Amino acid sequence: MGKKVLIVDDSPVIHIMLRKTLEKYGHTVCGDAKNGKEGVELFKALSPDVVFMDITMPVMDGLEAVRNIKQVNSDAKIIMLSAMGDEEIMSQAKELGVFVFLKKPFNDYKIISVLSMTE
Amino acid sequence: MSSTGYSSLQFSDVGDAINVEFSNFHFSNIVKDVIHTVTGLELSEENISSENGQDFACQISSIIMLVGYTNIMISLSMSKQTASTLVAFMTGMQYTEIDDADLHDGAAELANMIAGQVKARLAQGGRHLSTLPAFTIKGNNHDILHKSKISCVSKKFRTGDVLLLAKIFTMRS
Repeated sequence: MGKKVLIVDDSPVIHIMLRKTLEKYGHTVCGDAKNGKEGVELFKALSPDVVFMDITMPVMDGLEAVRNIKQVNSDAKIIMLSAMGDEEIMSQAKELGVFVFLKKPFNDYKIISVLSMTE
Repeated sequence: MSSTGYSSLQFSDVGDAINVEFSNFHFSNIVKDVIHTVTGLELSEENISSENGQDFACQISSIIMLVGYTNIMISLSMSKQTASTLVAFMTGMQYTEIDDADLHDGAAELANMIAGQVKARLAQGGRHLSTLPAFTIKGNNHDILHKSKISCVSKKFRTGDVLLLAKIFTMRS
């Protein structure tokens, strides 16, 4: 069954890439946020099944957004996006309850694979 | 050491710079792998004919820096047409739907991804770097040049009408 997905990333191109793949495989993108603060607000408003969350963003970064979202719903399913392969940031994300990571660059297969890991 | 696709190498201090093998082999493979993963395009490396490694007119360049035990700057330079093609393949958008903001963002994201791979590869050897945000330069026929005491490797890649110039500069901290 298709999932309702919220995308939080400051890159419009990343939004389009993810949306293209998600919709192709029967999922719905319910919201697009360009920073962590918008992401938290949309999470509260839309209650998505899964959130794709970038790490480095203006206004509020991904780790802070995860912290806020987990306060709203501790079972929130979040996939962290990263181009950096930064072990320390991944470690902090794990401490916040994120266990699924999608490293850029990604393709259809990688996107759908990590999405299935949130089930 | 690769025998194709790099301009003359200039090292002020090889010990503090990322080494020749990395610049010529790994950097080349990282660029090709990133582009292939997000676009499906297979790039081929070509020889560079001019001394500064820039033998075609660039209209968009994305630049990103990694800082730490050494300082690295990576640039990707291309024409607007190449940027449009790359963004179209990345996103599935029609060429007519793509505006300049999409091109600049797409170019910056590619630099971001390449830098991430470079950072991860160097981290495997215990060398850790931090990444600064990528930025994009636009303007007809511009060059990305370097001062003489900076090591620089230039790589040119092509597939069809797509032509991309990638440079990696390393500087002592």
